[in-house]
Amino acid sequence: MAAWPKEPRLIGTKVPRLDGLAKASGKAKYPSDVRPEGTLFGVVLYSPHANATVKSIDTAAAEKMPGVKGIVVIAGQGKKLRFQGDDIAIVAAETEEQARDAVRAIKVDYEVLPHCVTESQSMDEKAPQVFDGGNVRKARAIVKGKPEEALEKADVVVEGTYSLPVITHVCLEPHGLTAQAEGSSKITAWASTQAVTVVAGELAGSFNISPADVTVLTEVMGGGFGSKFGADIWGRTAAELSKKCGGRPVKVFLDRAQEHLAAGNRPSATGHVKLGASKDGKLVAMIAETYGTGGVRGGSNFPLPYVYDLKNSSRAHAEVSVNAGGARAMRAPGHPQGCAIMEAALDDLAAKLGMDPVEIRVKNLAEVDNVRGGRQGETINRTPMYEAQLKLGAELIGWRDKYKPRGENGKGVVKRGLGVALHQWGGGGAADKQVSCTINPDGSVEIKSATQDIGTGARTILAMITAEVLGLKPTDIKSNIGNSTFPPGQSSGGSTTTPSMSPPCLAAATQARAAFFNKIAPALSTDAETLSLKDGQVWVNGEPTMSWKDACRKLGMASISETGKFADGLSSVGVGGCQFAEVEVDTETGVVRVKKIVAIQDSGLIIDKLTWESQVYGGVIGGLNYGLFEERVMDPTTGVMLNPDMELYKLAGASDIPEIIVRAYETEEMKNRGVIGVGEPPTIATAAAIANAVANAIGVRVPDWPMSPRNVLNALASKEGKA
Amino acid sequence: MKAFDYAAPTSVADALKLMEPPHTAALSGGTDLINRMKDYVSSPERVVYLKDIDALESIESSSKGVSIGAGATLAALLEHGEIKKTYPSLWKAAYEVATPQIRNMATVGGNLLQRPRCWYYRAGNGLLALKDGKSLVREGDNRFHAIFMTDGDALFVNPSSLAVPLIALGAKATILGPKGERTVPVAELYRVPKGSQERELTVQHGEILTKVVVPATHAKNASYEARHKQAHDWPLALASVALEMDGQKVGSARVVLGAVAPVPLRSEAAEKAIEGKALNHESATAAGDAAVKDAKPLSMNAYKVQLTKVAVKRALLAAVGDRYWEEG
Amino acid sequence: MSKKIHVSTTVNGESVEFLCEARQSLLEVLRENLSLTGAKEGCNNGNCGACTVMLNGVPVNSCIVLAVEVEGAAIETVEGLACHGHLHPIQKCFLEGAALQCGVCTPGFLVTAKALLDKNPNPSEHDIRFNLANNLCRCTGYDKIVKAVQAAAAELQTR
Repeated sequence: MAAWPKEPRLIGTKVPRLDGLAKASGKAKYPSDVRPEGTLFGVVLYSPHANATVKSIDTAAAEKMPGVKGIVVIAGQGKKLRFQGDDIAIVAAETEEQARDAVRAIKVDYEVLPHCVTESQSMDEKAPQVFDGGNVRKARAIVKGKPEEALEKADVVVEGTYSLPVITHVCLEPHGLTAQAEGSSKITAWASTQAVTVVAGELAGSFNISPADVTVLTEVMGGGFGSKFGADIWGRTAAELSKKCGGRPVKVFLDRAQEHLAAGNRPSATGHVKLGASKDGKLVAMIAETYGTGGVRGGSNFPLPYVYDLKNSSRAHAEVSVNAGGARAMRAPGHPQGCAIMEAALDDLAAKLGMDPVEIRVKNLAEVDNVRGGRQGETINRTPMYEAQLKLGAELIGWRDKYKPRGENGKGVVKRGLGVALHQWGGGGAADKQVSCTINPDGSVEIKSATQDIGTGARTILAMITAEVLGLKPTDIKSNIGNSTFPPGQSSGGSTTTPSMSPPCLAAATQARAAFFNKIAPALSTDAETLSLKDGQVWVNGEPTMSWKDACRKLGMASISETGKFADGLSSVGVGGCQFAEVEVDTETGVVRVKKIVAIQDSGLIIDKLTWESQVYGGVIGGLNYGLFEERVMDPTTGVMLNPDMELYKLAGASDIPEIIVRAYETEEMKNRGVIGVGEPPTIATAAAIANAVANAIGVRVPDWPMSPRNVLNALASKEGKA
Repeated sequence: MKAFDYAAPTSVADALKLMEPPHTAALSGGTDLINRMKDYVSSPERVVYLKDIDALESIESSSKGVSIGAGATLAALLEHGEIKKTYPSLWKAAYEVATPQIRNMATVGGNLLQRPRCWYYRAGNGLLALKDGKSLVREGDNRFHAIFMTDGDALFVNPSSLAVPLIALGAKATILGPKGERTVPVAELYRVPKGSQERELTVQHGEILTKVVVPATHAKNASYEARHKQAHDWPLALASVALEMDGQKVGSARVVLGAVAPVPLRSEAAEKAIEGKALNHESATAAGDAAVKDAKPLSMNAYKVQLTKVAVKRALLAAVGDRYWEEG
Repeated sequence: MSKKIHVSTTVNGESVEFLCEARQSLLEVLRENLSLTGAKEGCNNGNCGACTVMLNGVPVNSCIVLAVEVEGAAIETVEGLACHGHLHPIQKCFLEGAALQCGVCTPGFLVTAKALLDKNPNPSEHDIRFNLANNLCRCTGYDKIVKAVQAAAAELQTR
């Protein structure tokens, strides 16, 4: 059985991504760049209203407009439109302008209905119903121990309300695909997706054909963050339009406004929290009532209590529906919200007790917090991991020298503060994935799987593993992914891609090597057991004997092709991590500048240190944006999103980003666990750590994210008001 | 965007003729107009491109001051040594506008005559954003809106960062139209629209803003902008000051506020508060307090009152080289 | 009104002519008429910088420039950065320094960074961050981008 090499040559080193050259030269063809001959442009007509019924729709004038080749109505007469951005129809035309003109010529008569687009609107007793059955679905509280009783006995209790807004994914490449139908029997689609197989399945379903007759291609793509798993209604309609237009390819990509409105978001979260502890800082109870909105889709629940050991807790969550685009998974779904609320309350408690924030965290880790080890049945206690990570992080941020208790950060107008937060995630592998490895007589090596690289480095990692086994360079391997017809590959989500794909890749390469040895051993007048591969050479009994290429020629006409399957023991699940933030807050303007972030992360055996680090940096900037800038703003009166752009929907630019220090917590024990994903965990704690640093700097909790001048000044004003 | 006729004249005279028909828009840097057209907020039938007119682009300095062509880009303005030296308030305001890419295209005239960024206006609700006679802004999300002159319906803020220092410096704008040339103080480029049919700009249909002349000055001048992001953001409050010093004291002062009212707003209260005083933290703070005496914030933007106070205080202190907030 | 206008221009050093509607953006014409898809459409209103190209030597957002405006102008796109198959040092440093992930923002960053180094061969970290203000990246955290520009500046200096 395959095992990770004890003394790897490539694994754990820094290898630049294989698609980097194409990307850095502008030659990489993203799905939105692909233009097969005869491509028509599809433009979506979407609802301008937050809640309406289509009384009638007339496309006659639009059909006759120049260049228009086809129109598909998605929301016909009587169809309910539940949010601004809900799809109504798609026009395919020769040029984008013609399609846009035609969209405006479609006559829709709406019955505009009352809406609620904010949580407070929706929670009002007299609010119009988003769905039958009420806008607020309150789940029964999950109770552990005796929280009320324990809280009464607590030496110290803090009570606070914390809230985080809805944010959207803002993938730089929008959602969409170009579809080409061959009659009703076959479809080819170039899709910007995190899951070629899911898109293929959806398109096959809509044509009632086998997924094998659908080819979905994603050579490279421009970000998904959890929002790009399906073909979506616009993708399925593109295929339908292609069929309608005699097989001409139809390209439908959303514009930036639609991206914000219809292509997913992270739900909001508000939590009213009571947290109690004994004098020595040991938590005794938490009572939390929370709510959030996932728009028309739900899914706003999040983990709370989070990370820390609470013997007594009560948590009740209410799902609030509003007339706004539905939530989708967004990088570590639920965790950033739970982390921010938990860590804020814990920090407020530490401040009240006059305790060091790092100390109170260590004190409240569970004695035993087991996660899976390398093999089934093996476990690892995460608590000492957290302790070691906190120690390292504190050192790197300069905690001992710089930390001052909350509100004691000098007399100047600009105050410095430090904050910390912990997080956790799963991120294990799926057992049904496969990779094929082919060694050709010309010496070329190709691996194939129907997974995709969404910018994470999956392509490079698979090449590294194969090259490791075959004694080649990663660039010698054709790492062929992003094609739904290849052996089943993992969707890129939940930090599961690398742990799902690495084991079958290792297996495929190992099997191919064995087959290769068996095949060439006779030609080298030796036994397969005497052969090994290193530095592009075939070694016999430890002596370099023949170049890889020459040896491959001995294969004759037949390539070797092996398909590897997932095997247990090569990947694991369950990580922790911590982040520290140092901020400067201008107390006169409320402007927060993050000066430094330290991110410590474990994730088992790391294949490519370079792309691993990039993932952590990326997670941190996502969390920093959540902490400082991002917020979907809905207008209560007109029901529309007021900032569906990249301007007033604020995103950090280069000057808003601090020094970021990334460290892997990668002990031998961690390496022995095998591969674990890293996409999600490093984005969880950043917004929490920043908010804690702000509170530490200015001496008062800013209870509402993002840490904007408005929210910071409001918090400062309320502090003065109370004083 | 809707289709339109396009013309690219090379002389001002030709441009004026081309500008005559109704529903014509002048295109310069395009960083505002093109986006409005894409969003169908503005749909001109003809677009007259002014950047081929060399005469509009020049920046010339003389003993009388500096004359800045309306077609000069913000990037060109920033590279002009005389402007950086004599008019730091203008230089700093331009430096903080948008981004390199935008400053390479955007022009001084375009910055002065851009339309408000009010998100209700940009969403197609009209300049005053009235629905059934009620202000969407007043009822809705007004975090970025006006805190002054809020009794009326014009609750957007003037978006021009350059107008603020230009008014403080006493600059005049030259406008050419079918009836000839006129010159007005920069402040008079703006008005508070009385009804939905009125624009917030006084430049009439068929007219072209050709240049801005900033008089020579010895005034100590500075600008301070409060904003959320460091990279590419709009000011939440902006103040420019120009101070004629009388020994150690402020002789006469001009204090102008931006991003807080439907027009760039001169604050006579702040001017009075600082005139005759030595400039220090105490007097600057008092001037900041005076500046917001008449502020009437909306439901969500009281924080901008604080930002305006601080912007005035910091602009005043910056004028005498005190940037205390950068010291930590 | 939607009649086509003839435009003559230079793209990456070669004379190019095209027909376009007045309302088409330079970005659209580069991508659709000229098949130069290196410049990307991220936001389509001048905020994300993924569409950055050089227009007469300075970086601009090609999504908010009308194609008809470039009559007689010189345009450089990311496709023109590499010379005879050799990557420009900025490209090389982005690649080696892992300053790109999904890569959609990368062409815009490369063009903006090249414009900066053309003008200021020895920029400070502040200069770099300030000049990249129009280029938004959702993946990398900018850190490696800034370091890549620094590395490219150093490499260009030693030439």
